[in-house]
Amino acid sequence: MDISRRDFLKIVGAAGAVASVGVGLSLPDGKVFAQQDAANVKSGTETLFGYCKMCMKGDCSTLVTVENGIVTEIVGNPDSPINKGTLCPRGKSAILNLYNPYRVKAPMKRTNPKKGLDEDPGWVEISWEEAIEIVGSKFKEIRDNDPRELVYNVGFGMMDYFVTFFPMFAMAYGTPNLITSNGPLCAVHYAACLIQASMPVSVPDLEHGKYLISLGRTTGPNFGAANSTCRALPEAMENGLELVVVDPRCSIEASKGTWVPIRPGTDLSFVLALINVVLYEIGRLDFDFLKNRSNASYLIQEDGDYYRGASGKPQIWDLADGRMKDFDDPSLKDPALEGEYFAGDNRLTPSFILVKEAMENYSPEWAEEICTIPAATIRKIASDFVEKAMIGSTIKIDGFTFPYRPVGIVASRGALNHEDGAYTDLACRILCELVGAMDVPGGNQGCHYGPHVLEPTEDGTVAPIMEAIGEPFSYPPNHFDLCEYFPHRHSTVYSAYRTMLEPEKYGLEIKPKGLFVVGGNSVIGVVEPKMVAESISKVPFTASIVYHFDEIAQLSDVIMPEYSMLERFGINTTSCDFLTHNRDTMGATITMVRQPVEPIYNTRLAQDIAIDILERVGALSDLNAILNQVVMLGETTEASLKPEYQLELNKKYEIGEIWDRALKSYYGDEYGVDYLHNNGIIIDKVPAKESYNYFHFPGSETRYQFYIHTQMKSGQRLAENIRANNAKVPGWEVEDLLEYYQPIPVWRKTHIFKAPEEFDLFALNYKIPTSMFRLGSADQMPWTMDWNTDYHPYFNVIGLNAATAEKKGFRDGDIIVVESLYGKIEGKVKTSQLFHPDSVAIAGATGRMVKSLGKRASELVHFNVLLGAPFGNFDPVMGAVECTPRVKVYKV
Amino acid sequence: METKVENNVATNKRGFTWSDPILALIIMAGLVMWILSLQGNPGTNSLNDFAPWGIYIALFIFFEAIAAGTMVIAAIMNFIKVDVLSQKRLLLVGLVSALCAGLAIIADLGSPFVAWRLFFTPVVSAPMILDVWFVSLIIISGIVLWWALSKDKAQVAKGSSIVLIVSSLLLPLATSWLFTSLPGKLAWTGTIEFAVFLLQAGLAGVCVFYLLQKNNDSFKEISRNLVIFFITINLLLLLGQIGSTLYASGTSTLSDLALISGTYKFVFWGQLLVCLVLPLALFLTRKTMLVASYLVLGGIAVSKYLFIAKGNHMPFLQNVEGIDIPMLLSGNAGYKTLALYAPVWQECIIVLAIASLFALSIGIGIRMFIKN
Amino acid sequence: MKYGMFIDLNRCIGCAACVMACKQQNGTASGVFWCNVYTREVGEYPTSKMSVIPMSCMHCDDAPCVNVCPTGASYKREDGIVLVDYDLCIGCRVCINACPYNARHYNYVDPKKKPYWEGFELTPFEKVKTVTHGYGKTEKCVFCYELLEQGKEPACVTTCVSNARIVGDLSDPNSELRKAIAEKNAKPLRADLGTKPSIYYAGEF
Ligand SMILES: Nc1nc2c(c(=O)[nH]1)N[C@H]1C(S)=C(S)[C@@H](COP(=O)(O)OP(=O)(O)OC[C@H]3O[C@@H](n4cnc5c(=O)[nH]c(N)nc54)[C@H](O)[C@@H]3O)O[C@H]1N2
Ligand SMILES: Nc1nc2c(c(=O)[nH]1)N[C@H]1C(S)=C(S)[C@@H](COP(=O)(O)OP(=O)(O)OC[C@H]3O[C@@H](n4cnc5c(=O)[nH]c(N)nc54)[C@H](O)[C@@H]3O)O[C@H]1N2
Ligand code: SF4
Ligand code: SF4
Ligand code: SF4
Ligand code: SF4
Ligand code: SF4
Ligand SMILES: [Mo]
Repeated sequence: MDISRRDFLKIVGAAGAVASVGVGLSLPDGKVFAQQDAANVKSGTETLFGYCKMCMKGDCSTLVTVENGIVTEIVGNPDSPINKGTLCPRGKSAILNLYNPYRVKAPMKRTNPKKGLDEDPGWVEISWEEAIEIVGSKFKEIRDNDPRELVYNVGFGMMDYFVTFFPMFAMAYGTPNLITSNGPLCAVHYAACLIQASMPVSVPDLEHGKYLISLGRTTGPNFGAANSTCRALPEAMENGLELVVVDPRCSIEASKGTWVPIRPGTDLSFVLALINVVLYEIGRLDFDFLKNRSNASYLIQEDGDYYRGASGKPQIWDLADGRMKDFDDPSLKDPALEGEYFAGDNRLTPSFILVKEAMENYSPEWAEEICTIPAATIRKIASDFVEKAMIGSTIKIDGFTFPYRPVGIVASRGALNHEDGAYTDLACRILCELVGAMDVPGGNQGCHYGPHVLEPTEDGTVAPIMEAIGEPFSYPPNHFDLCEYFPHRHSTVYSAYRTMLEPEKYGLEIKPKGLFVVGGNSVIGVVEPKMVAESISKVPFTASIVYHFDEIAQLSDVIMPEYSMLERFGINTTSCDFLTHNRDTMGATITMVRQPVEPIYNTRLAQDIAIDILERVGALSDLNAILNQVVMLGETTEASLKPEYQLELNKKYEIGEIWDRALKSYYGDEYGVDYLHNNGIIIDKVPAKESYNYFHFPGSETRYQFYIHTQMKSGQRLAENIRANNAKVPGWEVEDLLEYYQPIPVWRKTHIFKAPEEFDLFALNYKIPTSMFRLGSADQMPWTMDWNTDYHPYFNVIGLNAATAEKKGFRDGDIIVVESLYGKIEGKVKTSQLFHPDSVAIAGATGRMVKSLGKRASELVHFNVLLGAPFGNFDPVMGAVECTPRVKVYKV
Repeated sequence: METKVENNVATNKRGFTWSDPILALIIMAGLVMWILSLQGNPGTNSLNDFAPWGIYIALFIFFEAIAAGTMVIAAIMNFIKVDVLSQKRLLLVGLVSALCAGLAIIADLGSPFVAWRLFFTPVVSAPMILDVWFVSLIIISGIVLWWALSKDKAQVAKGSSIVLIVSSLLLPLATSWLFTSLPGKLAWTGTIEFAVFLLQAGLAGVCVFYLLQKNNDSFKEISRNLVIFFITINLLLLLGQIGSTLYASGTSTLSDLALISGTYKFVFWGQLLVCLVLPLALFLTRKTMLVASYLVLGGIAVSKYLFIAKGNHMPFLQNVEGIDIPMLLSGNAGYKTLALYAPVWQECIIVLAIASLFALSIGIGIRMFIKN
Repeated sequence: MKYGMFIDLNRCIGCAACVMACKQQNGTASGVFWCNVYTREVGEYPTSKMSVIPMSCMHCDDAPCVNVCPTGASYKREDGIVLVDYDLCIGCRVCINACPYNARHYNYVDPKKKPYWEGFELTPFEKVKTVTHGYGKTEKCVFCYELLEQGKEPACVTTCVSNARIVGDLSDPNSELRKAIAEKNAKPLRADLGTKPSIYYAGEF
């Protein structure tokens, strides 16, 4: 470490305040990079294999050139089919993430017991041994007493590996309170898990798609993803793909395709209207799909449940011989979608009718009132959608004949992070089912593919996975985020921090004794920053693995600095594309290695830090036991260690050793870490046909939920449990909770439509290529931030539709206040033709609440301040935060 | 008041005047600033890729105007018998201005040690070379004429005078050609600038001419009439420019529009009224004509700065291609922003220093070499 | 051999990866972007759209910058690349005013005195790359001629996430470049200026 304690205190004393921490630490007589200069670095030039993690996906392979110990070049690895030698602006700037002077350069402990965003922690450098001892012993104490009382918060700061390793830490330690700062603003997984058994999402098919409705989502270009889709989209459009972008702001994708401006937060009404038009005005449907590949033909009793025959199986009315049959009866010929049938005095109707009737009132005219999209436009989109679906057509791929449905409607963050987000996502799938565009070429693809994905339950429908299965109920709750009451939530970290402030009030019997934060920033990146910061400050002991002096470091008792991205040894497997199904990535599984560059500070590999802590805690054997069952090679890739590679329970392994065994178990003996060191990348691609899940379950071998039965059941189970324990769910009565669990999407006024009059606009946020997340110190990086400031018209400004600005009397450059019910921010007005008149558009992931990351980062617009998610105001199913809060704007 | 020049000359015998040390101080300050800026320290100028030329260049074209104007008159005087003294005074002013123009350029360059390339590795096809040459020619022939006058070498004086006249008339034309030949800066490309440069030089010349006359001087009246004449045509020219701006359309006049209606509108109109209209009135009514002539000279300096400013405000990409460049808006609204470039105090001090050097040298020069 | 580039505006998404690639390749001073991407809005709500265009030096055949350079520092090579000889450049900046494409940049501040990380010393990267940029010199895109010599493509081309850029030989009618230009009927930006650029754009800006 390049600073003695005395110098350090002197600097802090002199400069005072938090500001001195970042800067002070970095200025022992100006030698920021002393470590590097001192180190007897390798001379000559070498090229290292790597992969980028300047965004959360991080599946772009790189080649890193080091000259005399200095990183001078990072280029995409041309051998990777994913990025094919390209890198996006974030990846191209990664060198400065290594040489970031605001990094924490050694382990430190806090000397000022007072915690707060503007309290100087009074950092004192300590040895790694001391750091591990302090943290380990504290965590042991907590664990011996009640492991649930350690709250463990991860996030994208270290997406690099939290997915591949850090869930294991929680399991080994034994705390159920693993919360993630990533997620509240991207609750986009539930419906995919529920209908298509796909994690994390479902995506459009650019290889065969011809008509794509993109709802509050990017297909790649909007944030400049280098991992294939930005190449595939223009190609697809050259080959006739029509892109319809439904978004309150005109993105670059909208500019290339057709922009349909929508009022923020109203997507559900739009999708429901599409369904209405298709059902009532067009009527041309994929009946074969609905009858044989969905539960639209299942007979439903008046209580909404399946009617089950003697066999206990859901029943279908066969028009062919006018009898009721098991859904999987081989003699089934012509399932009925309409009519009403009786079993005794039990009145039954095919679920199709129920859905159809439920959609009757959602006319385009009705929707226009809400979402401002002209009824005519809605009709046009609906008819194009059905038209282009080519119902009945087929396509041969690798000798296998698929139904060909080249249309899709896909929604994401912008459209789904609303109180009614789950319904919107489900409605999109129902629309796809109407034309049979599910997991077939051209249609909506679960990005998870393989022989087992569409495995049906005994009820014959695709078995939900992960978030759609949800957390088991238990009372009193074990989780600070009360996920017992919100079993399908993606991430409700904000609730956790809220209850941690006063656990008893929420019927919790546990108290937060310790907090371990690893690369997540729930303070600035989510909602209600002040509340979260206060909550963290109140936790008796907080330790964090950090990169630079961010808000989390600021509020910690012990900070353990980790390597920067380029200094990390790592392996990463990517087996599915989160953005699109396209030629380059479909069916491809790629494993990459990152050969680390020489570390320049007294920092360590986060996994090894964690293993040391677990050892001190006495949980090493628990960890190894878990790893013996599963080692994650990537976000969606698991390996189970072969017998010969099993770990000895009480032996301490370095993460590299563990990965080596996992790789050999997954790919075969010769494909260990050494292989990767020599070759950099393992590429494994299945034939195109196998990347379409229809291939694995053709015809009526599986069925999709058209009538969302499992959601209804889940709701009913939840209600029973709550009532049985007469538990108190904050924010909701059990009855209104059930409203969100209907088997058919319903539209209801959400809170943003009940806001006070003067809050006449909706704030919204969107990612841009040069500001997607805060990971990789994105909001500090000189190149991208310099460029943003001087040349990106929408960066760090308050975007307003020109007409709206005119009405308010604002001009470009005016400084205005944007105020929501939760907080207010200031910014410079940017009038534009590219925003919906009702929207206040703010780009990027910026905004800081500490000065220790530098003046610039701390002065950027902070959208998240406008967000709030009190109990009762978020989507209790997915845990989606309302991402378009009502706001008012006025001159300062 | 009207006899200031007289008094000056009178005091000469007693050497320095009270203003000299002050001017010397400013010059020293400028020198320090210049040395600091030469080290490439941040903040020593406020130029950028869209505003590459600033107040130094404005100063250059200002001194150039004075030099050209005075030298022409000085040379012409050679052909009509007059007292050598007032001719020499004009010569002196012309020479000093030409040298100061050179200084302004040196200040503008990143380093003074590279300027020589302008003379010795010239690309003849580059318009800037003509500037360099004509300025040099003016200086050389000016010195020769001076020498000839002192040693009354009639022939040499004649020859050098002719050279002087020609180069002095060509210099403003060369400079305006330089500016109008820059496709990257539409605002400078108007052909009318040729006339503007030439007539402003003339105006500057006659003003100096007037200032250097003593009451009893036979040229007092003539110079007054010349001033009136030049102010009038400059005024007409300016009005013409405004008119064409208001009625013409298209991007090429956007910046002129911005000039008369944007950030600098007060400076623009102020300069027009205070430095042209008012002086005209004063001269016609024979009131404080000395002050009036100084006002006119000041006005020329201001209009030269505005000329540079309007050019900077016209990045091709922004105004022609309609590209949105946040760094050009810098908190201001719409294209009317001319505040693209405003000098920082370091630049201003250096400019003041050069101006002081100009004043000081002329003061001392007149006292030392031009005795009655 | 005459180098040229094709840029497909229908493909370009304005991500600025090329901008950062150029920074990395050339280590230009803080705030200097030889390669840039500009945005403008076209039309009025709700039929408006965003339009982006990457721009660097157009390596004009009839280059105003070269024509006005008094010292001969700006010159055009046989292979079409326009360069600045930093030893000859006196920093008069007339070329910057001459270039209609705003491709030229002058180091008004000594790069050594304006580190990427404001308030800190130069990073090792800058100590290797940025220090080679001189104060008082005018610079611009060099078409990555060093990479070309190594048989590689310019950094902005290699990294383009949407394959919007093609580099090649304009003098060779069968080059992929010439084919693309013909097929997509790409044109130089504002050919009307008569600068005869070597960069061709397909699609509307
Ligand atoms: N305004 C705004 N807010 C957003 C979003 C947005 O687009 N705009 N996106 C939302 C979405 S979709 C998500 S998934 C979440 C993600 O939010 P998070 O999971 O919190 O991830 P980040 O905010 O990217 O980074 C978290 C913290 O990690 C720190 N960090 C940076 N590099 C490193 C590192 O190498 N190691 C460690 N340990 N820490 C590091 C950063 O300083 C940051 O404070 O953000 C959400 N919040
Ligand atoms: N390569 C790569 N891929 C990734 C990631 C990565 O890091 N790298 N990150 C992943 C993660 S964590 C996430 S969350 C996703 C983020 O990807 P997206 O979900 O596409 O998130 P954004 O890019 O922020 O786009 C949100 C859009 O919604 C719009 N919008 C805002 N409000 C509304 C609204 O009310 N209605 C509608 N219709 N639109 C609205 C915004 O204008 C914006 O255009 O990308 C995932 N994919
Ligand atoms: S998309 Fe960009 S940031 Fe993400 S991994 Fe690829 S290069 Fe890195
Ligand atoms: S990298 Fe390619 S797509 Fe991105 S801005 Fe540059 S040219 Fe356009
Ligand atoms: S683009 Fe500008 S800098 Fe490049 S050659 Fe043409 S004129 Fe010169
Ligand atoms: S700045 Fe340099 S390159 Fe440009 S014109 Fe002057 S000398 Fe030539
Ligand atoms: S060719 Fe090289 S120098 Fe020119 S813009 Fe591209 S990367 Fe920069
Ligand atoms: Mo996300």
